[in-house]
Amino acid sequence: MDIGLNHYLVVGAVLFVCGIICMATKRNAIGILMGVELVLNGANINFVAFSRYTALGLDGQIVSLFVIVLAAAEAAVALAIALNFYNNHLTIDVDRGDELAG
Amino acid sequence: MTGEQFLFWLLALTTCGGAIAVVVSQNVVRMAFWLVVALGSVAAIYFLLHADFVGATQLMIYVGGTIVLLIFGVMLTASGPYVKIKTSPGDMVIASGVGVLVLFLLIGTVTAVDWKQAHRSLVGNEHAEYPPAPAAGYNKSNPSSGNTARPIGLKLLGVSLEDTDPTRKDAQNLSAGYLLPFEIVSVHLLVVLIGAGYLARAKRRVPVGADAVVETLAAPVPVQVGVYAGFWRRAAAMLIDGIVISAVQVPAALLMGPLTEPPSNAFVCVSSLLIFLYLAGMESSAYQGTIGKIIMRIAVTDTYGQPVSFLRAAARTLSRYLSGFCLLFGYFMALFTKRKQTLHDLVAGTLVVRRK
Amino acid sequence: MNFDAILEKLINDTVGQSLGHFSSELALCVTIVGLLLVRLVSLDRWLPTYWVALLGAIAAFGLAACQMKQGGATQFLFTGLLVYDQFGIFFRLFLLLFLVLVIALTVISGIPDNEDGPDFYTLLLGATIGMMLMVSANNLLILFLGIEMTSVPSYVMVGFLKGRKLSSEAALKYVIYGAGIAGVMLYGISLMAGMLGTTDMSLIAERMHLLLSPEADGADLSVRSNAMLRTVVLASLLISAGVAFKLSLVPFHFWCPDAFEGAPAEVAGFLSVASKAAAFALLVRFCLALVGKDSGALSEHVYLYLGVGLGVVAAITATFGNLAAYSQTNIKRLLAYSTIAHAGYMLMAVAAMMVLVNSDVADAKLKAAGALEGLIYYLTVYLFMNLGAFAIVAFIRNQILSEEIKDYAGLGWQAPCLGIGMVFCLFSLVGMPPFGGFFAKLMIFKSLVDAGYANPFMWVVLAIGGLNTVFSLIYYLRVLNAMYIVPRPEGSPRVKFDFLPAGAYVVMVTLPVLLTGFFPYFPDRLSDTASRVANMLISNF
Repeated sequence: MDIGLNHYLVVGAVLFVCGIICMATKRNAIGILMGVELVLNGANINFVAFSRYTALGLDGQIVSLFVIVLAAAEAAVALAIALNFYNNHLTIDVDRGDELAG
Repeated sequence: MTGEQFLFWLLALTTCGGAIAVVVSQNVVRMAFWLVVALGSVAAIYFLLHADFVGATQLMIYVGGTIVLLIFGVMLTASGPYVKIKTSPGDMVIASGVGVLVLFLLIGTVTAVDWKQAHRSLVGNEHAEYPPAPAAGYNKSNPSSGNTARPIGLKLLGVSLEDTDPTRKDAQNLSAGYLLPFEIVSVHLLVVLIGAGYLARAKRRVPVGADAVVETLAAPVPVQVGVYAGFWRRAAAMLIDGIVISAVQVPAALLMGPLTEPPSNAFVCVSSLLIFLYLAGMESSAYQGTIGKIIMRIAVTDTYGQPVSFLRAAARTLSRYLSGFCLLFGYFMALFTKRKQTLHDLVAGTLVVRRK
Repeated sequence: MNFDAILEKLINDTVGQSLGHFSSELALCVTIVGLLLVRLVSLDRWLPTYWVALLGAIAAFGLAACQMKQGGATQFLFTGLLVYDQFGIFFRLFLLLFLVLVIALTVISGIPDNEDGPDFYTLLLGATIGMMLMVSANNLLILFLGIEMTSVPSYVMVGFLKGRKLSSEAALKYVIYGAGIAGVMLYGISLMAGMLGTTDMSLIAERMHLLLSPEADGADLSVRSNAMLRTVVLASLLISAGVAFKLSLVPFHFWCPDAFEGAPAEVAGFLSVASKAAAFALLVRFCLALVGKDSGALSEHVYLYLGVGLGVVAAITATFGNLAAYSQTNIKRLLAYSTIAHAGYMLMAVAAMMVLVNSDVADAKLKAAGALEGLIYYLTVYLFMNLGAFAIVAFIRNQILSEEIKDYAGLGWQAPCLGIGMVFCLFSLVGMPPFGGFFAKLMIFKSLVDAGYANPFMWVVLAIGGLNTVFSLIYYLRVLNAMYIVPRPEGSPRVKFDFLPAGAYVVMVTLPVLLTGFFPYFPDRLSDTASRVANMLISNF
């Protein structure tokens, strides 16, 4: 069987779904961020695969480059916030953040 | 099985396996390890897709940067050697059930599409080649070699090489170039840097100008903590130092040959090194200053009023070049900064204060 | 074209055309760098940084106002990445006016002290640049970039009071949900871009037509186009989820109360108006991009379903927001749920527009433009009334150090200016005549009536909207009840407000709420502008 676009899309979908499950089940802020990275990578695989196999062309690769940069920026801010939370609460268990409710 | 097929199945296995392992792991450090495996394999998949530049970026920024950042986060917030994450089995079962459903939905949707036909409808040609030939700017003689750095670089500057193709539809207009996002993302990164820095740094409790906390710490050369040396006093000290240095340098140069000829490289190197040693050595010595500074009754200290180490003095001396390069602006900064610091003072974290 | 011709064209496009129209964003970028330099050379000792930020914002506002005055036809900037039209300019002006007002508020309420000022204003301006990209996005990459540029500084701003537990918790929740949804949205963008072979939003409808039109031959037509249609719909749903998160629509609303309660009131006010307005502009653009210039790219039922779907979400959102607001004891949490409810009302306008735009009702385009006009009018009034409410909350917090409604007891008599301002803002939020909120609601409900002729379900949405309006009166009145009816407890210190500058600010912000209601001149002018902007946008599609 020749390797085609669909094969890559399936890999992307698996990454996406793993990321979603990770975000839904992990209680640790950094664990959730890892899930986000998986989701973004699932989307990026799609972009690069489309860039190879469809009329999207090089634009797909460019978008994936921007995504990598934006993800790095987002991870930096998310970690700064997580550390700040840790300094205030001495935990990064998201469920311990229960002062905001109602 | 061809090489490409073999590689694909291998990489698909490591990517998906890594991703699943991230989900299943109950330990943050292990999760980080499996994430490295998954994202590293994604980089390899990019290479397989002929996206060499994206693959390299993925390796460097994602695997090299983002994941290291995450691991730092793990280390800074870990209270024990292993951070266990308890996921209740019930949650896990429900989430996996929903996840598998979503997965089937996604795969069912995207694989049902006839991509070949879709491509042909989009380009409006029933016999268009599929997969499409790589865009202009690729190495056409050997399309599988990737070689995307040049077209991507040009695209980021706004130029699309496919516009050079005369057979393109809509040949009069430029196709999308990415100059704007390329530039605006730099503003975004600056903002993010400032924001993350804000959250990470501790709030300054001591009000500005009150570094006098350290007054109790004894300094070997008595300096007046908090009484900063003025611009003109420092300029005079520099002038004296200039005279001292040239008093040695000029006769030495005369010994080497007539002054009209440019000095030899060796001479320049040796004298620069000596000047550097003089400045940095004197400032880090017990005198806390060069001869000019001693005469003008001023001394170099760190921000706590303590004498500086040789390393710090060396940093200060080297960053003098920085102050000089920006049209001496770095020196003039002493006129209006909070503690009358020049640029090289700011870089090295030093102060120049009056002696007692 | 050969390379030289491309280069010449590119320089022409960038320098000659685009940069001039991009000047207000550039002004903000320069201000950000300026803020950095001011701190580097320690000028902030003498010159408080808010002056730099305020000057930059005013300069950007002036530039946008010039653009508004010039008018001009729709054109594409930066090789088609941005679209420059009346709609975009209006929202730009809207955002910059709001930015100026928020900076003025922070100066008065003093939430970033002078030490943190440069950081705060850098984040504020950075987020605004992102919003301005959102409102003029013409490319899926810019759409994503704009949302990210808006969100990431917002996460930090929500956690700006970094020593407080509540604040850091709010920021953590916001960043985790936000990052997750951004990833989901990006996946949707990847499917959309791959299916259509382009990231250009103005080509979406055309490409969909090519893919799905019945003329495309092939034996297994229905199966094939079904799969493609499914992919596109899935992609649109995922992208809409990202926009819905920014709009805090049910079921993506959960971050909103938490983030607002933990954030300083100034930041909450900024997010509640600016990021909503930008997201609405983006939603309108995205929906219209799906419809396309020539109707019939897809069967019009698809758009009808889309519109009705938005209507259902809108009705649920408004109802949920109002019901949840009822039991709140914290004023910022209450205002957060009220913000959710208002997002629901405004979404009704977008739903009506989508139902109308391709329907067979007479003057469909004109009526669709009417719905859009209602949205713009509502947003403008909402800017003043919501900012007014949050500003008053901030000023009261500075005095009594509390944001609980029960601590507001008797404040209305002790601080008449803030009390009356709160009455105006809250009554306008309910939609009572003769305040601006009344006309805004009226316009949206009128377009729902129009849309009902295309699909009677919109009348159900209208009824739900009407019921909600009545119901929302109860919880807004609870606040006023606390401020005026409940006496101030014995022994609590007397609160003293100076008229200058806080009172003057409240007057400045609440006056437009009154003007857009009482005097016909202002609503007329505003609705003229709104209808011009709306008609330009609709007629271009």
